[in-house]
Amino acid sequence: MKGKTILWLSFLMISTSILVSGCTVTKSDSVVSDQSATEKDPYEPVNRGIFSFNQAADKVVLKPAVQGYRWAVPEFIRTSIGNVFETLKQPAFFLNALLQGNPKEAFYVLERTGVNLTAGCLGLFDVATQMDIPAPDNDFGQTLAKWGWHDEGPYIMLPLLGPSNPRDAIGLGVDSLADPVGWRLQHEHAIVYSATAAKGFVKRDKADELLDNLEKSSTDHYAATRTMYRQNRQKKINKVLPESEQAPKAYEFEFEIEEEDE
Amino acid sequence: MKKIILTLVCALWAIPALCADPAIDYMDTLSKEIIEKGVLAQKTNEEKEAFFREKFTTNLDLKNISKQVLGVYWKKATDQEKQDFIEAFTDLTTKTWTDRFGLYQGQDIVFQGTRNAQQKNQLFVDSKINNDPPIEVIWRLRQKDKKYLIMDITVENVSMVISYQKEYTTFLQQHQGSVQALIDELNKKIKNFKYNEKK
Repeated sequence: MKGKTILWLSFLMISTSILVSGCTVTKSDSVVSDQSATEKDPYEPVNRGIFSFNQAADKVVLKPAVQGYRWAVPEFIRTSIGNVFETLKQPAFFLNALLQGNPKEAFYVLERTGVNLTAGCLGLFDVATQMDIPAPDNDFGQTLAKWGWHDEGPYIMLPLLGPSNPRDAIGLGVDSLADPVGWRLQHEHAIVYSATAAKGFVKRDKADELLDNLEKSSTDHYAATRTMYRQNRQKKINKVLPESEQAPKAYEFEFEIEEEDE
Repeated sequence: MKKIILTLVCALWAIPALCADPAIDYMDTLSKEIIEKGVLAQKTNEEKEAFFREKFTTNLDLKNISKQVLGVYWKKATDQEKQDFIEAFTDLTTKTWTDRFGLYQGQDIVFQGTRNAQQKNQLFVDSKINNDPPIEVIWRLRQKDKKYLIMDITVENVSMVISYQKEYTTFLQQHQGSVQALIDELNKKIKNFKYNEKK
């Protein structure tokens, strides 16, 4: 039931976005297709539609909700809520570390979880970080890259979830299956949806000022988001690959200097 | 014996000076000055903006950054457009970074080492901000007249120059390559820019 609802909701949002983008991206279609080819963004009109929908949803629902959450909940409690959600992500981190053939990271995940569940009062406090136990940073998208899916493919904008690509979108779906809230309470829809919404709040809350800063300083918010996501994502993919298979680092480009400045 | 001791003392005295990397020294001094006199100082946003503008115009290679950011459109731009772009880009970058510095929460920045870039006179300085998790920041510098200039800042593999270049190229492609349209848009952003008051 939950899966069907999400599927239906996604279909509805994508359809709406296609209609919206069909109305808005007509004047510069040829220009968009030129740049789409260079930016590996063949669905750019659709993606821009979904991005506009996400921005509208953010302004109307998520941002006011986050502002209310910040006003009503003191910072130390917000930090603890964030810590609990971090703890709930550990099973996915553990499985991905094993699937990536990285037992050292898997061990750190176990150590981290054990410390935070005991000394950290069921994950409310992040004692592990204070003990300098490294925080894991992996996902199933990285696992697929490790298994040979190196080319990220076309850029896609997911409704409500943001920028992605086929490999990482599949990864996101697989990672969500490792969420303990989903295992234990799969028939308690209200709890599952509330937990998902709360996760969204916490994620948005952490990035609130940076997202605002990006929006007010960019001439094309969509293009700025696309390039930043891709560069940052490449770093995470490179992390799991041997050096010979890594993509060039974003900053190692040829910087031309004016001749009189040489 | 006295001579040996004197030579030894001189050698020991010289070791730190020989080991010190001038590029790291430069970045360390600049970052401390920016944090102490700019980010953490009790100043209004306008005063901070004026301070950062002075630091940016003297330490960033704004002409070459602008050239790189505009890519093929730099050659097509008139001299006046180039000048106007550099000014608007400097203004918006100053405001953007003044606003971003407001998010600083006292983390240490540690400069770890330098690497040569492929182009002559250019190098990368690796650094880490002690955050949870740590943030990797790479500075691209070049030497001009025995002075360092910053050409790019890369945070977690997101290069400032590449990001602006991709963003502005997309904008220019949608506006028939009009650099003037981009300058107008930048000026609009500057005019409407509001500092984040949440701390």
